[in-house]
Amino acid sequence: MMRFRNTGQKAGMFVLLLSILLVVLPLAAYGEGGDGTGNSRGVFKPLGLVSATLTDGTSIMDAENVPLQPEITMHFDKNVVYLIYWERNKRCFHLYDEDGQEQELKLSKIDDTVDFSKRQYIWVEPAKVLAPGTSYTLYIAPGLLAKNGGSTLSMTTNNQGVTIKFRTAGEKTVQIAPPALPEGNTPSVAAAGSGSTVPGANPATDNVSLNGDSPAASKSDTGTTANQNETAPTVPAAPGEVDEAKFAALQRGRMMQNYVAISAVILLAGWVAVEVFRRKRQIARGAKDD
Amino acid sequence: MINRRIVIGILLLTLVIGGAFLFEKVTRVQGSQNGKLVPVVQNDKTIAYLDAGVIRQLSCEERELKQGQGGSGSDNAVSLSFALGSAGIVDYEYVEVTGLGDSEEFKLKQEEMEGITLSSNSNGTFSMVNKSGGNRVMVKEVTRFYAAD
Amino acid sequence: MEELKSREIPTGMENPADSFIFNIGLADVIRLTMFGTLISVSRFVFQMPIGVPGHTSVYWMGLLMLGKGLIPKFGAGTIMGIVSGILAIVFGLGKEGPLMAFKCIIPGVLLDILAFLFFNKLESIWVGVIIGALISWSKLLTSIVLGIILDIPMVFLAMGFGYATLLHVVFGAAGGVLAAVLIKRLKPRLSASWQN
Repeated sequence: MMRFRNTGQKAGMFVLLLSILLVVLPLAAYGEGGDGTGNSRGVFKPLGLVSATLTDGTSIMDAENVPLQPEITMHFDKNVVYLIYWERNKRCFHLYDEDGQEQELKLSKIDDTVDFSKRQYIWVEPAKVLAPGTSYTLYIAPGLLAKNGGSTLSMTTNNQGVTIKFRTAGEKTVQIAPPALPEGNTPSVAAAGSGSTVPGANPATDNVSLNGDSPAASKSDTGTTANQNETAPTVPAAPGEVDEAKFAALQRGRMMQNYVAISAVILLAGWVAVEVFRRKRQIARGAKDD
Repeated sequence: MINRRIVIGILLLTLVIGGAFLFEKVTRVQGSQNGKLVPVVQNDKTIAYLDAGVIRQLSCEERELKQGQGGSGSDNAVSLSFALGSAGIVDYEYVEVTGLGDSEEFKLKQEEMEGITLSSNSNGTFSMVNKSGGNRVMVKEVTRFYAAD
Repeated sequence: MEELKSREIPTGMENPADSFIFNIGLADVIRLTMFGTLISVSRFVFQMPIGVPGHTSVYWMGLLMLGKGLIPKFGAGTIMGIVSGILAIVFGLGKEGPLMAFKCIIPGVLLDILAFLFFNKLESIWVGVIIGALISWSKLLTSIVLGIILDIPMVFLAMGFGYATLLHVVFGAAGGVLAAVLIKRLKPRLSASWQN
């Protein structure tokens, strides 16, 4: 009996050592890379927009008669106010009028170091009073990042970002001569989700908004966020490509996730089948013995 | 016997929850006093807390965002305007920076912030440095930011 | 007396396969491995975007306790923790990288200790509440320690700690209650076939 106990302990020790090795070796490799945040290496839960409402609680999506100075409450399902990424996230919000002109926005948050329960909310307000009877498009770029550093809005929007259209109350007072633009090259193109996510008229800005992390710098000198001192960042080289690569990596991760889930379900089904079979055999054996 | 352990267990749970809230409060109060947790106040309301670790991470973030712009960020130093923006300060006329003990108090307008950075110290606090003024340390250990409208 | 003696000898000592790890039989180790896998899988499958910290504890701690309740042997929690931890590393769950394994192993080890202290009565609702809440909290504590190791600023770890603790305790307790109910119902049915 002693021999068997030792065998059990030896096996136990072996498995423990193996586990420690399995844990420590990748750790060493990970440490070598010097990245402690995980980022693209991990599988992250997706970040999504839960709701976008006005102060009275009504949804702003496709809303009509929106006040001229609306305060929009954007509710996400993850922490989007994380101090470290706030400057980055602020650059993901853009407001365009029906001519594709970018309007300045004022963004506010309640920091999670002060009130943890408000970490999923961002309040968006136009810096200036909006024109009456005008259609506006609020665009949130897919690069919006959650606190974990890996979940982005691209995960729930197929790398398109969120486009919210609304119309202000009242009647249009000033008729601006429409610029000579080809038809369909308006914010509605983005809203229709036709590949291009950019609610803009200028094709040059398409890349900018697709990047998601940069404001449409070429459109407005005023900038899109409430940060007065910040100049608009320059667009890095081939931002679309970088983002596409990120998105592809993300998709691969999700595919892997699905494979794992399917294999696990198969494994579990097999286990259940084995257990059922075992039980049946035991019952049959018991009946035989009786 | 088991009932006694259940009672002890429930008491332990109560203690855990109470202790966690107490720990948070004590950390907040003590940290604010010794400069290890710096409140950012606007309209007499604390809007965020900063510490040396945040400053270090913000410096990396600023460098990353300003890449290609020839950004100013150096090791463990972040520009004051970037730090305040990250904390969520929106509109303000000037910022009052208070230091530990008898250190000087600074009132800075938005246009005066150029070249002023926050740099983490080894003791878990951070200082305010004027980069454009020959790296002059303005406040050795910052304890409070107050943004006035 | 004779009966008592025979009870002291771990069951199935006659066969090496029945004392595979920590004197737990091979069949039980395989079952525990399945529970460990289930824990990791549940975190893949139940990606509920409710955004409340600690909500994963409902099924994470629930499954951990269910496994321990159905296979009430010392080391069962640790084995489930190791398995789920290794799987978490392999599939890159979480932002902590390989250190993530500790978030799985620590609650498992603590579960073994607490179950021993509560005489393995995991089918009791109150025991479920206490153990579920405590192991869920241990997960939070491990996250904080990992946060310190990964140089996450202290302000983010300390601020909201009370709120996070409260939620972890509540969700862990909920998982514990679910596990207790399931153990109570499943144990009598499985005891016959799971003994060997």
